[in-house]
Amino acid sequence: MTTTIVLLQQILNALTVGSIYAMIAIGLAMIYGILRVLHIAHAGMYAVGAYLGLLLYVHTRSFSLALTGAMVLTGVLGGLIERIVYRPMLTRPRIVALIASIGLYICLSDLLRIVAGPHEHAFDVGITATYRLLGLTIAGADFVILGGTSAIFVLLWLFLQRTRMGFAIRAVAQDPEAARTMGIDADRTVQLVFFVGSAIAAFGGVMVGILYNAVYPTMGDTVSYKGLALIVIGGFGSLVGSAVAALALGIGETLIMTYTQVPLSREGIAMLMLIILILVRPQGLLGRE
Amino acid sequence: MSVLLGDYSLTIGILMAIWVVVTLGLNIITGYAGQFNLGIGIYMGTGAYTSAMLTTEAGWSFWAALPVALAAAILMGLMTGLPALRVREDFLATLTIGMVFVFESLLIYLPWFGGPVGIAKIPPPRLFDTPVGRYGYLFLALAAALAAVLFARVLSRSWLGLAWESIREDELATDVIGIRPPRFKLYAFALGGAYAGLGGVLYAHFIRYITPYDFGFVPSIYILAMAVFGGLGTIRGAVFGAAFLTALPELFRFVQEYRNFIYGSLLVLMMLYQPQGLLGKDSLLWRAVHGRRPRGLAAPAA
Repeated sequence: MTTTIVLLQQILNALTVGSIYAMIAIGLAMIYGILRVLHIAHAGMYAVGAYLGLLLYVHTRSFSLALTGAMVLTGVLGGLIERIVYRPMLTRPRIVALIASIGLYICLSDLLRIVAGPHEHAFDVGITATYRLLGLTIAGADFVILGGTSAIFVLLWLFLQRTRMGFAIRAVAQDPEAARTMGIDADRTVQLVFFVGSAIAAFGGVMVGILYNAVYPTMGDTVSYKGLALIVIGGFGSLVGSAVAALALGIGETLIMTYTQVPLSREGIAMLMLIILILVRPQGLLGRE
Repeated sequence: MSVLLGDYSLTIGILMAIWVVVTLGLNIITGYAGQFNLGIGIYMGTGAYTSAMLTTEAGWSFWAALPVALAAAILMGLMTGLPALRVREDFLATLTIGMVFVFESLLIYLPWFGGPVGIAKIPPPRLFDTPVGRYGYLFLALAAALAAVLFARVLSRSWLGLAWESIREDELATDVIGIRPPRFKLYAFALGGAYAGLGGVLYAHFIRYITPYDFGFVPSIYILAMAVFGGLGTIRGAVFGAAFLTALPELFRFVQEYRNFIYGSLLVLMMLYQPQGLLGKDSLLWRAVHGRRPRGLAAPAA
């Protein structure tokens, strides 16, 4: 009985971790889908989002205001990065944008260290209550993360499938040239994707800051490379695939760490899964041939 | 001589030579053969760890351990090169990132490799029965760098170099004219691995203390920054990029403090305004220098 409870508790924790991965992976997958750029700096946006959220919370003392503010500001920053860094590089060889995005990432996280200091900042918004349910311990932050992730998923799906802007995004992702001839402003659409993706990453960043009550410059490190692994596992550019992969990775990692003696860190396990998957199924879990 | 060069500048000189060797290795894989590799630290670490373990635990001499370490690095190049044959571009980049994380993680978690604290007390090489001093090491490292440059020059002008260039420019066409890309990609991984392994050996016996973190993803990106800054695909670019970016943090204290910020911005700015590197083919600076000096500063790689 106790082992089942332990297992359920582990899976619950794993789902929370997986939801956080999903927040990063969705944005990355959207950006890869529309621009074919591996936006490694996306994890930097997640850390920036957490810092902005903390800053706004300290000044306004309102959690909802801090969350929305951080999402909007990070989204705008994402749009600016697309305009200034990536747009001029699209006609160049692929390695150019890839190297730039790596540079951008280490530059962003170091900038956070320079501005806010290398130490951890506490991010306490007062969601400290824990609930006990069927022997499981559920933190308030877990509820917020799981609920928020599901809500974002539904909203994003409605946005992509049911609005004109979402339609434009899908059209540009499929064929930018054809979309242009149909009168869609492809540049604006791409920028919109960066805005939405970065805002979702900021949501993830703020949530992680609350969950662990800590915001620090290198908080993007672990998720950045895992995010890459996830969009590969999910099939480049596939939103559902990367979300499924994120939850699967959260659960897989946690179970492997708990029940086996593999001499690897969480990152190592994720990366090993990535390598095996690239070799066995290069089109990804749900990718098409 | 010791009046001319202080201890500190000796150290910088040695490190410059070491990074030149490693950067030339990345230049072979990514510059010549056009295969993304964001995990050059794997080969450097393989060389460094092999040599360090053989000289500390097995009591071998530096000279006996060197060929074994190089062979291990070449083997690692082939092992990582094989899966790399299945994928290209973004997938290859992601694959090599994954590999360097697994490599680092294994070094940390397997107690056999000394765990997170790594290996200490690595002996310096001995020449004529005496340990090599700092000057000796500078000459050793410079000799290795010079040999690396000359060999890279020979490679780039051989049919091997031409095959790599052909694969880089158009893999399908290369295959069609009867040059099998997989074979030549493997050669590039093996030779690039050997270069990085040699750099790793020199690094281990100079610093005399290595940890898994010296050969992880971020150090691999530093090396990529060096190659890209100088000009990917050229020997002069690799040499200049490695030497300049090694000296920069040592010469200016503030660079040391903001190293990631500066390296990162440098990568972004280079990609925006001069993606072929400062001294790469067709770069503004190289054209300016070349216009005035017909024979050029260094060997144009080709």
